[in-house]
Amino acid sequence: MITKNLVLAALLGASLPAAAIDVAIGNLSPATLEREPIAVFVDGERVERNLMYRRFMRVDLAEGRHTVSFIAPANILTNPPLVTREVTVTARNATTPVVVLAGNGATQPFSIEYYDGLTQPGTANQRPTATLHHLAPFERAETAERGLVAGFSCRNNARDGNTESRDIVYRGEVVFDPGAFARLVCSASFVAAGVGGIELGTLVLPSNGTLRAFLIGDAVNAPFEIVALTVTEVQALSGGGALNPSAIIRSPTFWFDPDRPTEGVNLFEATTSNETFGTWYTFAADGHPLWYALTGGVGTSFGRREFTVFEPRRGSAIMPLSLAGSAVLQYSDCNTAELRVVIGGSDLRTLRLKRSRPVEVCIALDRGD
Amino acid sequence: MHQNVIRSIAASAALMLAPAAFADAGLATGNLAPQETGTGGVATIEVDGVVRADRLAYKNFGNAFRVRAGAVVARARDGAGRELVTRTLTLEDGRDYVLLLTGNGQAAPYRLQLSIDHNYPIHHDEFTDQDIHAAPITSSTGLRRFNTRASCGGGRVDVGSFEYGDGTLDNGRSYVQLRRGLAGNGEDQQCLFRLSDPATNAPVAETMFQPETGVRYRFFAIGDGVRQPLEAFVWLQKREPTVATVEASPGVEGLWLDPFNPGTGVAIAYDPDAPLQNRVNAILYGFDESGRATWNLVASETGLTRGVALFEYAGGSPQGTRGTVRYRLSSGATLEFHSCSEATLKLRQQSEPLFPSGTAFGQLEPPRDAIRLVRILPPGTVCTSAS
Repeated sequence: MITKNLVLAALLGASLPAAAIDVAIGNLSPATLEREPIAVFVDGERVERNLMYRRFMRVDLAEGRHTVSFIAPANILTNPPLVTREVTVTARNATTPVVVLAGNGATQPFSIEYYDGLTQPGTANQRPTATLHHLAPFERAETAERGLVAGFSCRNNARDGNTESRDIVYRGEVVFDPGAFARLVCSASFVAAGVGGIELGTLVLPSNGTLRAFLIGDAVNAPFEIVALTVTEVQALSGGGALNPSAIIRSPTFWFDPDRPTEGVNLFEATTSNETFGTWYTFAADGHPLWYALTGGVGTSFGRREFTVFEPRRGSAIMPLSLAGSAVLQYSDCNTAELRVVIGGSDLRTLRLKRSRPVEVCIALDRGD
Repeated sequence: MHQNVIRSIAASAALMLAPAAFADAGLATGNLAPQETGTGGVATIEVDGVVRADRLAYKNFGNAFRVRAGAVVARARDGAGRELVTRTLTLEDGRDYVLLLTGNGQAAPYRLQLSIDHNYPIHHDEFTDQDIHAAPITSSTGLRRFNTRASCGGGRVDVGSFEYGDGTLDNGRSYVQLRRGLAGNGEDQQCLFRLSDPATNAPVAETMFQPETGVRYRFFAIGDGVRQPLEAFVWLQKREPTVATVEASPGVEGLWLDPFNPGTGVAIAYDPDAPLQNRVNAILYGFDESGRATWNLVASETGLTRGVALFEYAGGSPQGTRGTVRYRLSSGATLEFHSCSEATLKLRQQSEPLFPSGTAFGQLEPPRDAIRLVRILPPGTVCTSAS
């Protein structure tokens, strides 16, 4: 009878398409930050034009063998793939298969990692599990001497839950059993002994699937972070720093031009005089981060400030600053202003500034000039 | 002291960039040289021709004094007035040093060596020590090395490797240990300072002492094993005011500088709407090791146990568009506020290059690698928010 059913199933399988399986594909290679767009190909067909760093997508793939490639930058069609791998898609232990681009092509080679639930406990279809992956491609990350410990801790209001920590190396994974308790809230951490670590908290476990937390970043192209993936969705990110200072710094004294988010101005208006002081954090022509000191005061019209711009230099000179140019700031209101700077007599730069944390009243327009 | 100087906001540029208003350096003297017995073992130390320590006995230290910064000529004489050594030394503005007579004229020549004081803040329940190897004992492979071990009560144990000259400027970097002086039950705990053989780890000298908090200690290996026995020697260098730690508040916002390093500091933003651990972010301004002005981003990180992170940027365009801006995590750090006008920025990883190339503090080295900050804008020391 069993044999008969198997034969029947085989016959049906031969005549019907294989069952589609939901597969998550992610880009966790920090070296791709500067290589966008990152195209994803499956079996020679492009399934994603630009899978950016730290992003996941989902595709339905038939059970069986598939060839996955990542090409970067994908706008040059002749580029060879960063890496290609054949994976066998299957559903194991109620776990969604995950394909991830890893490595940075420098300290660790590019690789495609594939997780299909093989390492998950057989009970995964009745209760959630959690897996921590080390995909931070720093130098010698694959050696245990770096002493990285992956930890996972879960608790609910009744203080039930498990806590575990184990050594982990690059491309390694550690599977945790959070415990069969209701309403668990968990945290994932990666800690280097004597150095410190990163923790990502308030993770909600799926009811009957796998939560994956990935340590990513190489501290060269991108900072270390943890990305938590539930089934095929990114649930949380440790937020190891944003690219632009304007995304992080919020203060009444810091101003940014939204079109120029990598530079900023720090402004202070004197309360008892008509003087204004500022620092301008920008870049030199060679890309070097550079800052200028701006000193000045009220100008010839309401809301106008006129500055002398100094470039600081550390050296043997008694006064390590040199005259670099001039600037004019025109307030539109308390929270918007335009700064026009002339460096070296001809290099004009205009910044349309917004106060990073708006205020309702300000000294700048209160003064009456 | 700087709050009194601030009279107007326009002075801030000068304050940020002008050399600090120091013209002298602090100097204390010590005699750690095992001399031949006929000289009485005492030493007289002159600085620029002025006797600063007269007939200083072995293992003794003279009172600290101030001298002009810059190049000074130091000379040591034995008890009979004979010159042992003369050396020209360069003292930096505002720094404090210990000037030590070392060597025994045999295994190691007599030398005058400088050890610079650290600039770490000391909390009310802490003391510090700086270790110096001044024991010229020969071995088959040269001057003998030791392992050091220091522990207090049941607290942390620090173990290190110790070469002759370590802890002085002649041997480059030196390291500072910060220890808590009191046990959890409030009772004083005795401390042990031990020298051991690197091959066998067998103790060769040790001393127990009762530490005081708020104190700078110097731990020495001294003696040549012939004229003077090898000793693990502890010197209470000085007591100093301790610092407190306060929670960051809107009053920490503003422009801060390191008075000992003109042109370096942080511009701090405090966002009360952000999660508690993310409220303080900043720009470090300063100079890299080549002397060029540069800046870094200081970002608090969610869940990071090490406090803040320094990010280094490169590749930006003068137009400020994103272009090909690259950034990397340079280091973890702690930013500790002692009040709304005093703070300390310090990297955590002592075993790594402390202020990596490319950062705005690239020129700093231990034991003066803590960045002691004072707020200059907005003026005043009270915790009022910047406007």
